[in-house]
Amino acid sequence: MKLRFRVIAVALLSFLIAGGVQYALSTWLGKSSNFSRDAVTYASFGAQALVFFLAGFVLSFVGRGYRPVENGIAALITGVIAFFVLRWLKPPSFSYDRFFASTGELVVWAAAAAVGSWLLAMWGASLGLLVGAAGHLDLRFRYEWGIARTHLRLNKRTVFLLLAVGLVVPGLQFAAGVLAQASDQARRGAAGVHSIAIDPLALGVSILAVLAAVLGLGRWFLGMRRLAALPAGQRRKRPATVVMTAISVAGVSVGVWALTVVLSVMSGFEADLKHKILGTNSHALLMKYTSEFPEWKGVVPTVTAVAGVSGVSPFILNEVILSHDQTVTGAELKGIDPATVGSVSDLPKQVIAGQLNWLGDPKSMPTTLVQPNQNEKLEGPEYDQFLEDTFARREKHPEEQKKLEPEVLKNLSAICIGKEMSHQLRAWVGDVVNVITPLGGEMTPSGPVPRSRPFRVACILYSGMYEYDSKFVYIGIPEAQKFFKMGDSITGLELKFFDVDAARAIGRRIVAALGGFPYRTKDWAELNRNLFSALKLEKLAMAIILTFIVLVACFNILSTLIMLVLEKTKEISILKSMGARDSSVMKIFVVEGLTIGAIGTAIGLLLGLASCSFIERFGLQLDPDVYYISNLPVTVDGAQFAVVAAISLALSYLATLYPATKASRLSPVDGLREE
Amino acid sequence: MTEPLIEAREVHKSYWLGEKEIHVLRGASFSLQAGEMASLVGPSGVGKSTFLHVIGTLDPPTRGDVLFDGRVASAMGEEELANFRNRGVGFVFQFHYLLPEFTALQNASMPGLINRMSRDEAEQAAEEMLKVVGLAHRLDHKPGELSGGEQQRVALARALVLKPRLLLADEPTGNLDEATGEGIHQLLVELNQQLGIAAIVVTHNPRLAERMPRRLRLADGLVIDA
Repeated sequence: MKLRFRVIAVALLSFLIAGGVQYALSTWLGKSSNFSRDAVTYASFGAQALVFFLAGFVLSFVGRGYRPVENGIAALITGVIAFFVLRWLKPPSFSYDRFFASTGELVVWAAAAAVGSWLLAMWGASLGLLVGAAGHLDLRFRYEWGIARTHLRLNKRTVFLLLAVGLVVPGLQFAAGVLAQASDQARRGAAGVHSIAIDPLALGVSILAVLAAVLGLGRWFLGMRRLAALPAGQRRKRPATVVMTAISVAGVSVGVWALTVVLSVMSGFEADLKHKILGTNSHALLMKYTSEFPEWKGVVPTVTAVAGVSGVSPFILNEVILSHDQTVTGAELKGIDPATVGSVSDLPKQVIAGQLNWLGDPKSMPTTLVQPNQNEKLEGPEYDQFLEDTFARREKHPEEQKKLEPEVLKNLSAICIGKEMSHQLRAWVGDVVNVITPLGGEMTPSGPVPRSRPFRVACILYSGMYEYDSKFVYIGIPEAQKFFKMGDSITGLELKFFDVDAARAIGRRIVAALGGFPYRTKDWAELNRNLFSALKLEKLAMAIILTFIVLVACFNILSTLIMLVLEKTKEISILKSMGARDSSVMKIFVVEGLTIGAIGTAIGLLLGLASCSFIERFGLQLDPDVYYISNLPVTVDGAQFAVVAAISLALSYLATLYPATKASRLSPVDGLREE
Repeated sequence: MTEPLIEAREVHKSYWLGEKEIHVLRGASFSLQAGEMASLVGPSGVGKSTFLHVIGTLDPPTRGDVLFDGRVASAMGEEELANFRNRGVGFVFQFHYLLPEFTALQNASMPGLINRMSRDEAEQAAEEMLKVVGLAHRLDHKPGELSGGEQQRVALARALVLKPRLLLADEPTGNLDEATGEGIHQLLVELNQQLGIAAIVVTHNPRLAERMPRRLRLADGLVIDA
């Protein structure tokens, strides 16, 4: 075997350039941009992969073929060089802030460089060969497409059938969702059937889908009967490859379907969690490194003036113990300003009984029993049980209430508690709970004594986050300052921005406007890093696992194409005897595989979309104690769907390469000899 | 004497059948002038098809050279070879090998499409050639709807659509009844006279072979003028 040293030299040079590009880009981006470390890593390695790919493309022209051996030698040398360069450079490893410690890790990265460069170069080379690297550049594929179409039997009938299956099946699923929604509305509404209110467009689509399905089934049934009536000899036989093609399309659709639905549900979880966290919490906190923050009233105007800030509110946070009758529970006590808290969180909207304003004005609280607010989000047996244990119990057994003088009652400070805590303590609006703090107590001969103060429940809040509803209680800022003996000081300021995702950058601007130290900000992503990074990892793991389904489906494409190549050997020979180039034959089969992949992907995306709509309308119940949320959430993200489609098409393309290359290398006489 | 259109010099071709090497051609030499027409006869399995494939650059010789217009085929690159097969030579086989999903017109326009002609151009050329072979009324029929003779005529039109200078026919009438075969043969002779296309026609029919201006015989791996 003759080695082409020119190819090795060019390959090695381009692979080293790729490595250089990665290093230069990561250094430059790390120094002169605000991108996160992850983003810099993705961007620089993406650029490196692209250069590997392009190198392979160019090499297919230089070497007039795949040249796997020459590329492999170059990749191997690249790996060896990468090993020594990495040892010399000692770049930060991807396990955070650790240097390449062991030779073992260096070997792993060097091997990754070698294997990655080889695979990507081969991939690039395939594209080069496809456009005629071995002969002259030829981007046209018109007759190739015509022939590919006959192999796939893509005539009007098939296209019609595909459209029917591709639209009717998701349509039926959509219709099922609409039906579920309608029945749900009818069940809940007082007016029965008349309380159904469905978007007319959705209704129209559902009716169309059902009609089309009935029509299609009818035609199919008639067709089967007509076929059965024919004598055996006249029935058209389908070649095995057509059936295999259909199975391949189905395989890809199922893979894409699963991937989109699962990713949409995961995104739904993430968005829901983000929504709930940001409903109760602000986008960022402004705090000081010291515990004293008495000058906050002077800071507020400066903070408000920073561009992008939409709301500012002070807060005090401390841990306390809450007791009511015999029940005791730990809690996070938050002092808030009822007047401005609505500008940084959705707290006022979370009230399900009582009023948030009573925090600042406890004297206006009624002494009679307060009715729960009308709330549509809260329905079902779990909520009924809650009302049974709190509100109804208070109604039926007023004698359980501690008897206090109305005057004393009027002068008590107010407190708002979460729904789960209210349930746990069996405390309804108007009840008196005791708040106990170990801080600032009297010193006695036996040590400090915790202080206790009675508060009257002013409102009950429901955020949907179990953790918040069972842990957070709220009182007014002045009461909190008095209770914790803080003077005029507060813990910090809660901030809300117009753009949630710019939280970090705006936080930096605020600190700069205040003159830096001792001020600091913490944004929501930082405050909940564990939760969101766990979600991100989970999503990534799911995406990778489910991509394997698509991968397996692409093996289907591979075997179908191999069968097709075997079936069409004669045809390939004839085409070659008529002067068809190798690249043309390759194009035929690549186009076929891509068509299978594209049809499967399109059907899968439609199915995924319909399933998401179904889940959304049907409202799959979850146990809120376990999942924080009551319904399975979905978020349909267009970008996510696009990425899934791109992955599926890229994998289909890879699946075509082996059979297409084999077909292109067939000699013209291979198919002519066997008669 | 002018330079021959096609020339074979000491062409050897052998196959491996398991461990055994089978020598099909053992130094066959011959030449054919432009516009010349020859028949090639020989017993079954003697290597007539192999000879045609080697002459038509479909199969490279084990040893020896095939020259077309003085150029050595083995020195041509993939691109040049493809161009030669596309425009320099037309093949007709015992079986028509038409693409079953395409009409007669589409089948005959395939070489034009491979040559990246526009569809109109390719179909126009194909229509003209189908008229020449007498199938003007069958343009939109698929191969399954044509008779054996008609199918072979379409194959012939396909081979000749880009006006090659050489036609290689491998038992074009072997699968047809006598009268139809006679018609195809007549057509080949007419085309040779009308268009000046050189042709080698492999046949088992001695009567048809007799009528050719030149008669070749393949025996013991050599080509001899009979």
